[in-house]
Amino acid sequence: MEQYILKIKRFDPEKDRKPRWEKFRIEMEFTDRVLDGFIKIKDAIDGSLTFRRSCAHGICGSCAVKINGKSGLACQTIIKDVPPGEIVIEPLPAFPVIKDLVVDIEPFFGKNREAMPYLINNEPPPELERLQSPEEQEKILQSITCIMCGCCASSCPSYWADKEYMGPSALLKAYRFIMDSRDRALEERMNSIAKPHGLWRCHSIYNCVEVCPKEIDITSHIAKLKRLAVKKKLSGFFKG
Amino acid sequence: MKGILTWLFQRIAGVILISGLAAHFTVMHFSGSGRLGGFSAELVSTPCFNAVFLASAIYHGFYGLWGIAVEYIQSKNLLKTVQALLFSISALLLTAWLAA
Repeated sequence: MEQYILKIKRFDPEKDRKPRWEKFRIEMEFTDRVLDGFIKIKDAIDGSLTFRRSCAHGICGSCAVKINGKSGLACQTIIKDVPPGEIVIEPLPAFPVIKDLVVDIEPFFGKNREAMPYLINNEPPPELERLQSPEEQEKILQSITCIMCGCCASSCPSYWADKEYMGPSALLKAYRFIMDSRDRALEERMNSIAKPHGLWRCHSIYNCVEVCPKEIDITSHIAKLKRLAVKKKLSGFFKG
Repeated sequence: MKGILTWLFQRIAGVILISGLAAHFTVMHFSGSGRLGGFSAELVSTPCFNAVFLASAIYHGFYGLWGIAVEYIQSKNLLKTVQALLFSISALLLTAWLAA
């Protein structure tokens, strides 16, 4: 067991006028996760520390926080991988803070809903299921692994600046259904993303790719959507 | 679908600017003889080259500024004013070059 210092940005709307920093000295194994540190603090030092967690195994995405300046999952960040010294923990940027490390994720989900995150196919359903070939599935394989943790959006400078920008996660969600061979709503989906606060606000900064806990190359997926939009527009011109 | 062509022109203008700058610097400043392959000093200073280069620079620059405005300005009225201002300045710059 070794001693670690977790410096956590805290905010209690009932007590604090502005966020404050608090340091916690705790003993942890180097194989522990940052989330284990939060749990130890809550159990033994300060029960009022507030954070989200659910699966604790990198699936639900609810424990996303900013760790040493980089958004990531607390349950997926091992202590030995964090540079020695203080571990600085903050709530995800770009989202309103509710309390301590808990942010209001509703605007983020709202923007994801704009991308219509569900299969649209009005054709009569087949007897068993709508099948997909392995090649067709390969096209969307990365995008379906998104766990909606919000790390990408919270790291995107365009998302920080433009309050109406859909964000990388919503665009990735659009990609996931646009490229799905079983979906039939290409026009509606393209209209929902090819707009001033949609596709064109992505400036290929790649912050989203750097922080994605599922290692999804989000920027490349968005670039494919841009190319598809241009292709559709130009083909429309030539067809008259 | 909105904003596709304006975004595409921004990319095309960027490619023109990079190629134009490369041609200009290579021929005018680094070649010594004022000629490099098919490019000559005369070719990179023709009114046509200058017009395409200037139009691309103005479009690329002002569309970039418009992009910043769209991201940072939340008031619709202010955004419209900025749009009119950017359009007027770019048109003025182009007209001034044509008149010169």
